[in-house]
Amino acid sequence: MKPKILIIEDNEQNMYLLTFILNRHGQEVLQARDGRQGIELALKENPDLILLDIQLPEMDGYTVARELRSNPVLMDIPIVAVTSYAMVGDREKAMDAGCSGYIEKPINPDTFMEQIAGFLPGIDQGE
Amino acid sequence: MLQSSREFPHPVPVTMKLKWKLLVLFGVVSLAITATLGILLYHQLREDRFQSIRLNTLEQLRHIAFSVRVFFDEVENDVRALAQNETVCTKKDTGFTNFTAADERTFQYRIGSVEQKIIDIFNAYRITHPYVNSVYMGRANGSFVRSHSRERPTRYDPRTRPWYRQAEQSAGGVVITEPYSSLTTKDVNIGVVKALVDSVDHVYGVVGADITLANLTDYILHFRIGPASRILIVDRTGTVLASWTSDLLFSKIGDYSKELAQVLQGGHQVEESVVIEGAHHHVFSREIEGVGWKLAVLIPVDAIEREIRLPVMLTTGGLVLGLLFLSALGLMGLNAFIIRPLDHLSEETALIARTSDLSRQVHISSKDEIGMLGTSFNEMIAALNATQKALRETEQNLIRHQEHLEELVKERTEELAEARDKAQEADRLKSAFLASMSHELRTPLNSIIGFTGILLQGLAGPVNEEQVKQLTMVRNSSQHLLQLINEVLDISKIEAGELKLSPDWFNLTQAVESVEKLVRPLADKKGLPIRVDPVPADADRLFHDRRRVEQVLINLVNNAVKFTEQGEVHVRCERLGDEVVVSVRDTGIGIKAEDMGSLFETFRQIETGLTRRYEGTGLGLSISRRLVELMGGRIMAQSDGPGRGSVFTFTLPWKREKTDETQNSDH
Repeated sequence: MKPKILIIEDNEQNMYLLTFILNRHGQEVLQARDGRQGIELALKENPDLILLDIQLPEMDGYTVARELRSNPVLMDIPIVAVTSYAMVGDREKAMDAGCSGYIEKPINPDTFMEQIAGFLPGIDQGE
Repeated sequence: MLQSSREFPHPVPVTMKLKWKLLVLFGVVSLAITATLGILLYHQLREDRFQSIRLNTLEQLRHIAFSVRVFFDEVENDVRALAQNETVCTKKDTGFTNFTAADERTFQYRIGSVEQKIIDIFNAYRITHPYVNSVYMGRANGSFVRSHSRERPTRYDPRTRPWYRQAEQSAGGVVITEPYSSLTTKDVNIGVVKALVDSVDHVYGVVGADITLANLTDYILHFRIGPASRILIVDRTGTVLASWTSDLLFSKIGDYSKELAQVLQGGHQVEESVVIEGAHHHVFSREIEGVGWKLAVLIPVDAIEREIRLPVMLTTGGLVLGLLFLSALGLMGLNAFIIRPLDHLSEETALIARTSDLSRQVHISSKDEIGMLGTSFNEMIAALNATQKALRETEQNLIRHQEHLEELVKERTEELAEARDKAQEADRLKSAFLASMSHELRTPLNSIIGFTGILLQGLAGPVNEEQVKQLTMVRNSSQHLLQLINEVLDISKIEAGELKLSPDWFNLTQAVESVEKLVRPLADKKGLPIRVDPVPADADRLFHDRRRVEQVLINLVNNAVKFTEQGEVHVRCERLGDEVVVSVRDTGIGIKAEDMGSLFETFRQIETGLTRRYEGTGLGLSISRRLVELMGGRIMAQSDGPGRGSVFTFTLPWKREKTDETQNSDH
């Protein structure tokens, strides 16, 4: 079974880019445009990995991460922050909010799959 | 004020003390003067008196000696005259009275006319010369004629008598005999005798006159010589012929005082100090010429001193009284002219000192030194007053200035606080701006880099060679842009002090390897070898922020590759003492000497002559320097000049790793 990856991202181009790369590497992608939608989708679909943008409308990525982590059903799903916030402490803030990984934008398409592979235990068996 | 009155004792005792001091001073001075003058006067008087007595005594002695001499000369002349008297010197003396066989009980005077004439002459002479006791004549036939009858007509032979023999022996002149006791009376006499000599020098008789020495004593005693002076005459044998005391008469002077006897044996005129009967005496003696007697005056030293005691005492007493009078006058004068004005002045000054009232002035009553003192004091007080006023003004000014200063400081502090707040706000805005910029720039870059990557990977379908080349350019440009953004961000962080290091133990070998791996593609493209020397074991373990060490190394190796066309890039690590030294050597374009100084400054890329041939922000070295310094090391560059390559070296502090530190990291 294909791993399901939920992308929470408001920027269309970024959403398209990530979805394209993941699809091309054989991953099933769920798309959410804001945090609220993302949490609902996560509850409904129980994805294997969540890629979370930090700058989101209405509810920022830190809050989304904290909400996801506070829900016992979603607690174990790895969350990787994919963000253009590159200032000091941004990584720490993301980790504190409950993220399992942190990828700085712009992403490197050549290494992106390697970077998230660690959070997808089944991927190696699948390929 | 209490303090000041304690410091300055009350003035009255001071002036009292002054009076007493003056009194004591006067007393001491008076005593000293009196004592000195008294002693000097005493000595001087004694000396003067002694000299006066001495001179007087000598004069008198001379006078007495002369008188005695003259007296004897007279007697001698008289005796000579008698001896030459025709009646007296008759040779027909057979009938003259003769006592050679006389018997007191039966003797009868039978006096012839010639003899009677002689007796008359003798008697006349005796009567007219009261000092002459008797006048007499002895003859070679033993007869003896005298001016007056003998009291007792005892047997008597003149030829056996000393006076006759002495005259006989010196027949030519008058002889003065030794004193001798009269046979008939108690008198002691001396005879002045002259031999009667015939034409063939035969002595046929002796004429003489006796002088009683009692009369001589009377004669010399009527001379007043000196205080308590004692006068005496001794003959050649030391027999006292005349004396102030009858006890000594005709005794030997040696029995009375041997010292005196010795003195009297001296020369013509002698002065000597002699102790007689336990008392000091001045002795003056003089020889009476002719008779060879010694005339002496004894003056007790005590007597002289007794005599001068009174004048000395009178003078000293007068002096003391005079000095006391002068002292009293002086004290009164001092009291009137100095002590009382001083007293007054000190009371007034003490009052000023007590009250600290500098507006007061002391009263000036005279134009003398004390008046000047008062004037000076007034001037000093005035000066003090002025100084105090000036001080008070200065103090008030100071207080005013202080208040003003406090206000100023308050204002400035407020302004500074405002400025600080503004600066902090500006800083915060800058950080926010940078964060926002970074974010905003990254978002479009994400698309550019992402999609270029996808296209190049062929994920969206095949691309031809030309398209790959162009897409690669897009990717490289966008990656360069990303690098620029990152470096600007780094500089901002460093300058804001926000860049935090996360030191931990790591292996330098691994760091160097990963850097080499990263830069290798660029070098390969140029066909440039990167030679990495194995990291020595003692330099391998480092406690630093590995990401930042790598960042510096990437920058240096990247630059080396970028600026080198031929040759090689050589990376070498070693440990020197407490430092690990990493050097990156290249054989590239090198650095001009004038560019060395600005090499590590922000936004510098060395002008190469080929515009923008070498890509880069110019921030790399600046960031590297700041990072190295942040880690406690140094960075430096060396070059032998353009075209000769360059060496970039940085150092990092090294410390020995402890085993337990590797196990529990302190973060």
